[in-house]
Amino acid sequence: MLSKRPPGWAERFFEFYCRDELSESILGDLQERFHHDCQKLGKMRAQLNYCLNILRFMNRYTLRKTRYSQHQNKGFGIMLYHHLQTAYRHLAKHKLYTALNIFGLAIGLASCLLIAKFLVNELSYDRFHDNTETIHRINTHFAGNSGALTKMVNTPPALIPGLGNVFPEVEKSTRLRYVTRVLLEQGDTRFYETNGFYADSLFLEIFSFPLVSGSRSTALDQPNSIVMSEAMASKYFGDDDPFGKRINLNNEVTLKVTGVLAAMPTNSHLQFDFLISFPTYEVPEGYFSDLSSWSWLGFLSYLQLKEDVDPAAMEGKLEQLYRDNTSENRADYHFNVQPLGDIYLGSGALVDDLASNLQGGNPVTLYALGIVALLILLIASFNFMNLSVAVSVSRAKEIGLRKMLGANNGGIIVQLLTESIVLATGALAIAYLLGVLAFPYVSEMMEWHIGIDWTQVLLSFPLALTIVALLGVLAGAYPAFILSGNRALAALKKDVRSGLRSGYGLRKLLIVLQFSISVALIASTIVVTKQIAHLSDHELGFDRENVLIVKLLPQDMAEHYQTLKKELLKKSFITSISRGERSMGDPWPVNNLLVDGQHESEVKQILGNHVGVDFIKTMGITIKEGRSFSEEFSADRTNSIILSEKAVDYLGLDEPIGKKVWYFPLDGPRTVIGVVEDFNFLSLHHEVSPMVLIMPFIDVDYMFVRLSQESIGQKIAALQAAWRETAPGVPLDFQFLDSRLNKLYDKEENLSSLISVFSGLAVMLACLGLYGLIAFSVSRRRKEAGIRKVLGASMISIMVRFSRQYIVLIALASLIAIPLAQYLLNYWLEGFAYRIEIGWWVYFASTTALILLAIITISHQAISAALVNPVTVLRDE
Amino acid sequence: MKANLGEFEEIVLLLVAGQHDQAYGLSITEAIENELGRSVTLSSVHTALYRLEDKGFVESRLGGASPTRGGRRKRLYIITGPGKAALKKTMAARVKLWQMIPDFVIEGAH
Repeated sequence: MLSKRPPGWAERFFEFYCRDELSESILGDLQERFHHDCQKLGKMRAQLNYCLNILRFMNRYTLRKTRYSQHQNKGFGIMLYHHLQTAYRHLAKHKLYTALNIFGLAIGLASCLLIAKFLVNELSYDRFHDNTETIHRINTHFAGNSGALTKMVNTPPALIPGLGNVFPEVEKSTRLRYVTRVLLEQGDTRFYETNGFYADSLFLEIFSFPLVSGSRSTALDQPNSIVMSEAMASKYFGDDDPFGKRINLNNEVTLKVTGVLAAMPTNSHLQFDFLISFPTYEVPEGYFSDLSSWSWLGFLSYLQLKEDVDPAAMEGKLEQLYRDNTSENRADYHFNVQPLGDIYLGSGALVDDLASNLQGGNPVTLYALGIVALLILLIASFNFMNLSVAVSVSRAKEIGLRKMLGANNGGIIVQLLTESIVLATGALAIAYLLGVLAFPYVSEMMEWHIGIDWTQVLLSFPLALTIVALLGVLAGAYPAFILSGNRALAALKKDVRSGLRSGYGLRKLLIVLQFSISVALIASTIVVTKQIAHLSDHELGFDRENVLIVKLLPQDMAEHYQTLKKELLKKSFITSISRGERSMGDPWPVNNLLVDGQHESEVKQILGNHVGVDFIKTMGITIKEGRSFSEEFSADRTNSIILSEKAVDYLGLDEPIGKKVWYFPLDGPRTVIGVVEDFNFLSLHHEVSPMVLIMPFIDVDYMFVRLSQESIGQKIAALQAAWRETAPGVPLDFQFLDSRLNKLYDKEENLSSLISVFSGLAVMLACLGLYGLIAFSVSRRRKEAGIRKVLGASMISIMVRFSRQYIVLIALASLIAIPLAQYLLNYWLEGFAYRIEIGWWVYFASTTALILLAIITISHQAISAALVNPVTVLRDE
Repeated sequence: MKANLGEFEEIVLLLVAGQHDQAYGLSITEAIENELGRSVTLSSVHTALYRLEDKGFVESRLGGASPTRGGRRKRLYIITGPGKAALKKTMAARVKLWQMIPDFVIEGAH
């Protein structure tokens, strides 16, 4: 009988968890029960019951109490209240550190919140469509025989209709053609509109742009249909319901409003005010192309694929389709199927030949901002930790006393962590307040065009709270564990030195890290700013100042251009007038060129622009050889061409003047009449390309006016008056060429101002932390300063003694930061064709600036240390 | 201590009183199983006993080791003054409520 014993391991487990005073009687009961069970139910069941009972006994009466919970168990609420109360008293006693700590962290957190909001917005582009996952855009890649790969978002018009039955994996497809400029007229209301597309009928079925009225499936089916935004509709129809109303297009056709769009979500790469049904589109005269073309890259193509179709697998089939339909044997032609979700951030390398308002984001900006946010959070956290550690040292005595009165380590750790978490949470609350207040300004400055989304703010709360609580724990942990581990007696002894020493190494490390980050950020700010300035000042090869770009309707241009030119040139302040298809700052279209006499396979792709007489003079381009277009040579209109130097090289011409060149798709060769020096009409992200100029054989809509140098303001007014006189009713819609060119660097300028603002903040935070630390250390070393003074130290020597260690730390920090910054900045600069060299002075300046700042920060406290009155501080010794 | 007696606690307390000075966890568990035909786990009886002790209705001492218990002592319970008062109070309340039932309700029709 007695040989039947309950399982020993279960017994040991029970003894492990059960309180000693209960363990004996319970184990006794269990064993007695085990014996009963053995007799009644057999050994197996008895053992099972025994084990189950061991588990069932685990409850709050039997579980061992930890040393800490013995004290805390009954009065947790009371203790928490007590902790909060001491936390409040402690914080109120050290007002300066509390303020530095809370505001430093709050500013850091607020910056991170703002940046996070921006990042979330950038990543949310085009995600609102029901079919985001399956929508794709087709891009065209071609190498040309120069070897450089050109990637375009544009596709030929025949591509989408050609998909037809060949592609079972395509659910729906649609084409877009951008609207250059149309005149819409309803009653007396007339406006030029540019921000729209001609769209195939399935467009609204594929994309879920919100509709107020009209049918997604039929709105764009019929010719002469228009779908417009509510804002645009109210311009023409006032408060009337626009649906079904009629509106006149270009004085030619009447369109019927078949749908009204709700406000366009800002996070869409396609932005438009209106859509006109595709059948309404007519190819303009002089284009030598029609909608059955496979070579006219002038359209956007979107596909909605069936579920689980691999887009990459489609690319080959598309290329096959292209080869089947065209006689040109272009092996370098490729189609790339790009998912909708990648379009906004992944189109930086793609050229849009049509200047059609497609929104694109810059992933580099996102990375840069993400890194900056992280760095700011680091600096703010380091400050927080540093100040917490420094200030907590002064509490060694309090902790010692607590321990004497019976507090255990656990209790003290909980107390210190509570304090630190309270502080961090307070900072978070202020951060949200700051963030919400600052958001509209930041959003406007950065041209984010987004408002505060309160649901997002609410949703971010749990995450932010978790991070901050974690930060509180991290910041509080070090002092908590150090202080709680001190022996009570040692803490109660007046051992100031040991108090100051504890956590000293960590503090130094954190300061070095903070200032490394600061040096790197200052250097980045200098380099980014210099690079942007370099871009906008760089010699472009033409004179960008004092040129107005006037946009005209093709029919106005045809009717009024010659009169306007003749009349306006009579004014003394207008030096030259010309016109063209594209302006400087626009992308120019790619054309096929062939030197006369060469084989057709030698066709080369060269950028080209259709420009009027005097274009070269108006833009200030230098003629190297030959002459410009002229009214005197009537053949210029149809038979002449001007090349840039690079184009001459590219075409391999030795004596270019007088050579004949075929410019497709025109029939007949053109004679080279002139060579101009290279100029860069696009942003300096790109190298200067070979290019050609010919006189217009299509409608052009830009007019260029060069003004003489001084007092532009008055001249604009005079120009407007003269314009009204000469061509009443034709609007003078102008823009300065240099501001248009500067727009190309908007993204970099935004990046540069963002980085400046946030590096400024980061440096400020670092200095704030430094100030707090030195203030604290000075307050602990007043007596030392007093004694030194008594012994004859000068004020200067005391100041130096109190601040030199920080200067050394900053110098050390620079040494760490410089190679890192050098590496990252070079990486960024590689994205530019024209870039500055980073001189050593950049780092020297950053370090010096930071040391100066640090000296200013420190000086207040150092002076106050040097000014102590020995009598006051030494009195109580 | 102003504490109420739950239904299960009442049963345990009654049995503690009934097995005066010989009541311990297992004896009460078995009494409940045998006398009331109710299945109950050992741990819930123990828990009820600890709770009663917290409320001051019972007191315990250690004693009565035996070989079947592996030489371990029992925790033996006796009822305290407040425990008796609490029992009487519940009893009185029950009787009062019983008396309010008209005879025919329970005795009469089936």
